[in-house]
Amino acid sequence: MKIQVHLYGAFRSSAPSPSFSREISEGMTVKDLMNSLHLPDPVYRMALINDIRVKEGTLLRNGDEVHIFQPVGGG
Amino acid sequence: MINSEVGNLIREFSSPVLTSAGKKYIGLDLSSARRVASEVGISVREVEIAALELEIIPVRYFRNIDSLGVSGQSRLLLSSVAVVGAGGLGGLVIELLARMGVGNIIIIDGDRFTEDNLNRQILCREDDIDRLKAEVGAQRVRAINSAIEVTPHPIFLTGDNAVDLLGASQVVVDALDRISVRILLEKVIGEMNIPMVHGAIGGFLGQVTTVMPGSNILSSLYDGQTAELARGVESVLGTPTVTPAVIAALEVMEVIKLILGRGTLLQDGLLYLELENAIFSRINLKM
Repeated sequence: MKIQVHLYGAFRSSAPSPSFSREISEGMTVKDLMNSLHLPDPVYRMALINDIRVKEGTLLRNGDEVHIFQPVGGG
Repeated sequence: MINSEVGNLIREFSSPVLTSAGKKYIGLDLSSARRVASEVGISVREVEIAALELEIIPVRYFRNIDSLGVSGQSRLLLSSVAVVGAGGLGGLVIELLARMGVGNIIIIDGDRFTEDNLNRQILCREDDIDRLKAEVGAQRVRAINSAIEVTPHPIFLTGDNAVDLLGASQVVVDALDRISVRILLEKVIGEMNIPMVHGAIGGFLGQVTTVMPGSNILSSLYDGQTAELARGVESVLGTPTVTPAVIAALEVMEVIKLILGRGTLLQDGLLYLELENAIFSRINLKM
């Protein structure tokens, strides 16, 4: 199974390239992906799969396009 | 309809001027607008609205007019925008709306300035510490553009007062600093059928989107995280000086497009800005 990952902000440097494709194993979740990339503090990270906001427990599927960024809320 | 006495006086006091583009317009300067206003007993605002109807341009808008057109400037002057939050983003939004010539500005913020606002909040000077942000904002608008009607509400927006506070507005600007209130605002503008421009900052990161009534992009975005995410990554990255300036300008551009019905709105996703790397990305978001 293969997914496409796009990292933004401080997460860009968590992989050799901020946009990359990656093989995943059956049962891998968004959280597993984030942890494997050593993305900091779970409160300040957010994922979309195929343009839909998902929770970290969501299972990844073949062909998924995952965007991971830091939500901002200040004014 | 313009009263003929007002029209005649405006014509009498106006004079032809060349803009930077070499186009010839008939202009009305501020002292003449004030004279017409005092002779006829109307406001400078009414004089400017009448002048634009006669295709006579108040000089303050000369540098806008080649991009906006006379009818565009006139539409802005007749429009009404509510700014919720008068801090880093809101202060700059208010400043830009006033200089663009948005004719009615409603400012909603119950907060007072504190010393740590000085790094980024354009409305806040040392002398303004402890003053109400909404009142200072209104004072600033009046000092920039006396043709604008500004209404300060020095109270925080809640589910109970939102309809009363926003009722007169055509567009709402979300310049808040708390995610939970942003989500409340999205719900309210949906019910009131008013479009909203959302902007948020954290560190050198920022995001902008336009929320059309019925869209729940913000609640989708922050889904399930509102409890822990009373604030976003700004809690750890702070809110440095430059970020609100960029995001506020983009928010005001969305407001202009909404009012004038032109250009392409930032909808169905975020414009996500990473200023440190000079990267602006479009992140699509389906609801």
